[in-house]
Amino acid sequence: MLQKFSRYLLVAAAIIILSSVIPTIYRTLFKTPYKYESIYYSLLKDEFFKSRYDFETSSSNYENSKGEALTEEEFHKACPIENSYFLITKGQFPDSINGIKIDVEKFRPESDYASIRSQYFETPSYHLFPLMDSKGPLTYPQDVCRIGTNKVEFIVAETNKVDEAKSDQYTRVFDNEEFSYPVKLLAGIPTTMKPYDNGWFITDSKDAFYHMKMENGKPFLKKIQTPEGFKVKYVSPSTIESRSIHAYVISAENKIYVLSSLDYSLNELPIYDYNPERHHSLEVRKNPYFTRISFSSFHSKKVYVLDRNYKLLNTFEETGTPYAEMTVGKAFSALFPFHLNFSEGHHSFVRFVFKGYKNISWIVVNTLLVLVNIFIIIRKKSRFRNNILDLLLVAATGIFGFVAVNLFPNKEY
Amino acid sequence: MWKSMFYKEWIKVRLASILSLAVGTVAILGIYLNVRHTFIITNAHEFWDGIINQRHIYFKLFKYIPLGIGILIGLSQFLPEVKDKRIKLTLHLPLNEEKAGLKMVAFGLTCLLTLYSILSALLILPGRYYFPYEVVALSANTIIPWFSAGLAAYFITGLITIEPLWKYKVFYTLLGFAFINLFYQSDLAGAYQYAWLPFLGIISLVSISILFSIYRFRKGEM
Repeated sequence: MLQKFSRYLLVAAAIIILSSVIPTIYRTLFKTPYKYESIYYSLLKDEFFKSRYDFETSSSNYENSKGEALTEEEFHKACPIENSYFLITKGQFPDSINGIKIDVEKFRPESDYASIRSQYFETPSYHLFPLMDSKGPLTYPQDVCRIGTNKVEFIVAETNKVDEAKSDQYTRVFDNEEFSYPVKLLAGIPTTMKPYDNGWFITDSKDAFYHMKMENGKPFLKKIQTPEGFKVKYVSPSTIESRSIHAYVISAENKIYVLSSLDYSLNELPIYDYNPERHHSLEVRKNPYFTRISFSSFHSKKVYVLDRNYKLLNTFEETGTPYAEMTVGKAFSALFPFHLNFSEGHHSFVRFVFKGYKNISWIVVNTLLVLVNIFIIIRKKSRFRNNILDLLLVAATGIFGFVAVNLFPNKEY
Repeated sequence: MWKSMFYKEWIKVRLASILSLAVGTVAILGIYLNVRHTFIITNAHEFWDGIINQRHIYFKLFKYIPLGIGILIGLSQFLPEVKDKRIKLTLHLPLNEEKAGLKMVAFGLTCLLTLYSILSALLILPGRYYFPYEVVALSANTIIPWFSAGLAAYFITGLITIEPLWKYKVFYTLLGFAFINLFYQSDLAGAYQYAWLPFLGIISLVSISILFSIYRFRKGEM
């Protein structure tokens, strides 16, 4: 009896394993084409342009919003701000665009780039961070900071012991600012490969938002005023040379904000359809004249262009065919009633993600597999009564159950 | 009778157990000698930076050792049984054959868990001397899927070794490979903290798989 039971346990394990393995093999064999294209905005023409890289010819193709092909030179001239490097090198950069005087000197200090990948929103962390001196030379500190359950501690790497004096100094400042332990979110740039240090942005257990720094060896903690009920989901600190921006902040409601360094004000951007669970990457490209924000999902791309005051200038949207509507996607749904994934785009953990039984297209394949299994049972002259559970498993789990029950034969001796 | 049976199992696995413990201990010694060496020749804070910010796993050398131990213990326990079909002797003892099979697996599992407990303690505890407890805690979390892979490999090795037909041996090896591969999907420290419990659930499903192979063996499947 136990031997029979062990077979069903093995079949169950095989169904779980195969529901991850077979769909992965399918997706590897039938990859969907990916378009390597970038969207550019022309301040000159208030129009979007596309640049597409062709791997076969190792060259880029350009086209305007009407789909007309452009030469590289025409493209550079049409989008002067985003191709400033090429135009300045050739001495062809315009003095003004649409009446706006262009100051090339401002380009570098007023330009910024942030790539926010959804998988970083939830990632395993040691909850330890290096706190560099924002007013001193850019060097990696000898200690790491821990914001524990009731105090701030600095652990010296050389000795693996807490620096009590420094820790007390910081804890006092945190207590004065009524910081509610423990820390919930830590966001900073833990490397010396950056133009300057701007400390860490943290949230406490009550979702209050703070900026923490060390300046000339002394603690700095500033509580950032936020709207009522505001919760921070993610912070991407900025390294803009002019230091006009502290960070790009994403709220729990998936709204995007720019945290100004002038007065710590949160400027909400007029973007209301960003969802990190669908859009796995968000890109912010800022120059002195406009900010281009783009995000994409498997089949869609959206670009927002905002002016210097973060007011909407123009938008671009491109929607392709969703995977479920492609031939490979339809075949996938028909072949596999469900599948098991171990990763998702919006976190870096390994998790069991069960997806399936969303439509009924798998019924045909499952029925066929049940019939094939009945044929096998008849051919092997097995008793039908002994294989009812196998047939039910094939009917419910399709190809996974079919492979599993035949991998562990239900043989009668 | 049980004492004699456990003694028989111990005779089979003792060399593999000692060898596994030796290899695991030498690897751990190597890991901490490297940590000590790096602390001396460079700076401790640079090493910490590598772990905390650049996500290096300082004990990565150990990654496949629990898997190797699981396979080795499994082979050392079950290969002698299929050699000249000696398992027939075990199955002809005045014992319930299911219980006999389960006792064999229970013995192997105890051996394996003892080895894993010693090695995980040797790997994790000295880390506290060099690193804060957060690093030690996440390190402990990181090795769980590696040891789970070893456990899964032990049960699957038993299933494959006792299975009488080569055709099925190949199928089960492929399935086992696919299963073990799931424990090595992410190189990120602590990535499995929400997944190791369901994985242990799947391992428990294959834990008595040897009974299936023993049944087929006894029925004379050729």
